[in-house]
Amino acid sequence: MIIPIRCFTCGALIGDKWMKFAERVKRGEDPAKVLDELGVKRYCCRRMLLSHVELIDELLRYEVYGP
Amino acid sequence: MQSLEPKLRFLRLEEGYAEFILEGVTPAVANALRRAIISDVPTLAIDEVAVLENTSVLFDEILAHRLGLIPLRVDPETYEVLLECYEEGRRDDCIVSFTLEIEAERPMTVYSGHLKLAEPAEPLKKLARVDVKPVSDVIPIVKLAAGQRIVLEAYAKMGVGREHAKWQPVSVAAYKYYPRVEVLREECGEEGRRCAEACPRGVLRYEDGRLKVVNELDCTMCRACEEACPDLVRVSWDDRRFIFRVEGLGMIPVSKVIEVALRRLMSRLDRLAEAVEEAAKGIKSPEPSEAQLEP
Ligand code: SF4
Ligand SMILES: [Zn+2]
Repeated sequence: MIIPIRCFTCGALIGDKWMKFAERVKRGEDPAKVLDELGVKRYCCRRMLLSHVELIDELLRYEVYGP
Repeated sequence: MQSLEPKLRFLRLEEGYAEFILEGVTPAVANALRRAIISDVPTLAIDEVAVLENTSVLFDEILAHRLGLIPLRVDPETYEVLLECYEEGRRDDCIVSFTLEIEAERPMTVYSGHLKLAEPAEPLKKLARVDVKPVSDVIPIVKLAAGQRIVLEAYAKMGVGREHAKWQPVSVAAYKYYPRVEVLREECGEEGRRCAEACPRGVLRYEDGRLKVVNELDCTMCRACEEACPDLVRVSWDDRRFIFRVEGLGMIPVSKVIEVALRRLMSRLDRLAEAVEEAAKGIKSPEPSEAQLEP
């Protein structure tokens, strides 16, 4: 749905790194390198970002509150 | 037999990370410290949320849960006051409140930085300043489509990790025995290269026909080296010495976490001692028998 705030396993903060991560990977950078540079070391935290699908963006398309 | 005089030496100490050696204690003591760090150091986290309006795609309770997980950085003076409150059992009096009021004009993300600190509760008013804020301003809380609105108040309270993981002051708190890697035969030729290459942590180095231990502390005691060359190296460990690694979440400095953990562990033991004394009071000790009188 939306990026979790903490890593499910160790509890480290990962939510704040999503925007940068997604943007850089979309631009074609190697995810492993981006994760290293963001300081995400453990594989529990790395899979949080690596395997995430931001579905909330899809849902927002159907919201009708706009003018 | 080594002496059991406890000693602590930092290998690395930063605001958010600590690595230290604890020696002269039994595994039970080391583990008690680890557990106290994880589950018994009070911190501040959002615990109650009054949702006045929420037309976003997330349910109120998901929103509240996400707010709870945001780590809050507390300045040292405020922390002392909050800690005292908590230990006196007045946690509901020492509340730090936030407000969040947002209406999206175009699709947007609501970040932790949008939370606004409200007027502090009574016990905190004596402080010159109450500096509580999310450790990062770019933690996404929810995404809104144009026209969606969120209005809520969030109340942060003190609590411990035992109750809910959001109050844990650290993400990682772990220890291992102090490793000892012994090279049995330094002059070893090509076999030494195989041995050094077997180590996944780069503990051993092979150079000019000699095998050397270069950074013993990195050893995880996996014994891959021993398996590769059983007659070249021997791996063992010291069970009275521990290497701790503690990674904080930025709510309070890691050094403070360790200090509070130890203090709370000790006061727990003091209370136990008092309870034992109290319980023993009513019991009359029997006359010592002859056997007991003998030296
Ligand atoms: S036990 Fe494992 S980590 Fe330690 S030196 Fe041997 S191979 Fe390396
Ligand atoms: Zn993790």
